[in-house]
Amino acid sequence: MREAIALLLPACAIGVVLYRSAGVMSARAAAASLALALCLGIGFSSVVSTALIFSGIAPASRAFVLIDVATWAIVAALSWWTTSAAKSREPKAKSPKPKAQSPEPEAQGRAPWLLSATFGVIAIVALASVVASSMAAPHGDWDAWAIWNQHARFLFRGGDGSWREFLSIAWSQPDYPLLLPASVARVWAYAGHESTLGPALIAMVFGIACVTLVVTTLDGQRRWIAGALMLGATTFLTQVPSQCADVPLACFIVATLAVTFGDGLRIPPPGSRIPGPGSRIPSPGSRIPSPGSRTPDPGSRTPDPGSRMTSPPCEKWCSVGIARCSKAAGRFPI
Amino acid sequence: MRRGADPVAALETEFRALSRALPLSGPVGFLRYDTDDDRADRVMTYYVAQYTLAPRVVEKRTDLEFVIVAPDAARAAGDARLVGFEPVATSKEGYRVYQRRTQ
Repeated sequence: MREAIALLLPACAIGVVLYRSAGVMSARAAAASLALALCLGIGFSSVVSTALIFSGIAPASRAFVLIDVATWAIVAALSWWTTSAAKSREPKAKSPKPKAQSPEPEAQGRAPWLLSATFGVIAIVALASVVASSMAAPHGDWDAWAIWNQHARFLFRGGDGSWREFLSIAWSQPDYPLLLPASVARVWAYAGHESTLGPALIAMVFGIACVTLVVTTLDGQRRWIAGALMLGATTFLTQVPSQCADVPLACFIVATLAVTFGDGLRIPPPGSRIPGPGSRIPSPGSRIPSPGSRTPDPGSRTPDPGSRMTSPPCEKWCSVGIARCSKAAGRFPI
Repeated sequence: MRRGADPVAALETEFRALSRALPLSGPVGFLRYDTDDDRADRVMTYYVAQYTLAPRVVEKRTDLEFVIVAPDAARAAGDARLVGFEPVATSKEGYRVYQRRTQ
């Protein structure tokens, strides 16, 4: 399972930033951070891999893995150090506990567990379906082996510079980006051979992260419905084991929306009293109502001068703007 | 991963058997099918040849040192396109590598 180590290493390094910055996390925020760390880990590690290959370091060589491991160890150490330094500078008396950054939505309905349990069952069936599809077609869909995994083979095998030859194969779309091929070549470098498990695992990680980000970003019971609908759609279930770039691209789009509009990944600035746009529970001491709030805040008409002092105006107006967009998006059924 | 009846895996086994007879990199020829060269299964055969033999570049031409020939690509009664070549490797299913004879 060296392939899994290859994927977890950069995710852990990036996870240090996300976890240490947020401090105390709910289970929902932790799941969102993990999914985001996996996406970003694969994305950034592909950049490192591409840089190494362009520098003439072949993925099949031991030096490639050693440099990659060292890079991510340094990233993790720097992340730890910078977040520790930031925390030590934080005024302890004024810093609020980030309890409200990712509130667990209150249970609604008669059987709140029914939807989550249904989602769980669908998720297990979907995972089994993806695994079965991956075993039936270990090289993926046509585009996967004709384009993405083929480029990965050129990168992995062409350490003497012959990887550039794929640029001359017009039918293999040589202009396509190297996010996926470089990630696959990197996983093969860790595995020591061209395992079909590598690209399949990357595809599954992106698929799982995509669903996790949706489920952890939306509020209330509708998140389980949204997740179940995603997993129930045959398009999604055929795209994940196809090993093409559609699901990774979708995952990064979902991650962007989750970070922009979602509450689970929002990290409140130290001393800020403005709650997250989608927050259902106002942060302690907040006088500014949360736009998505369902329970009216008694002090909502009186803005807190302290919040103006601690938050720059542009940040406040951005926050309000995002909150209004989020509220508008919340009017739609799902 | 288990290898079942996946056509890509099956073709890959064939072309992997031929790879020992080929140079490690550079262009390698691939004989066009005499008829229906753009049929889906034949396009797939050509694409899998490229997928398997990377970082070599498999090109549909015969003016190279090595040419890969699928079992049903050459004409039955001797193919003029293979004059001057001799077979140097054969796979289980009959895929062949032809090498240009030295003058």
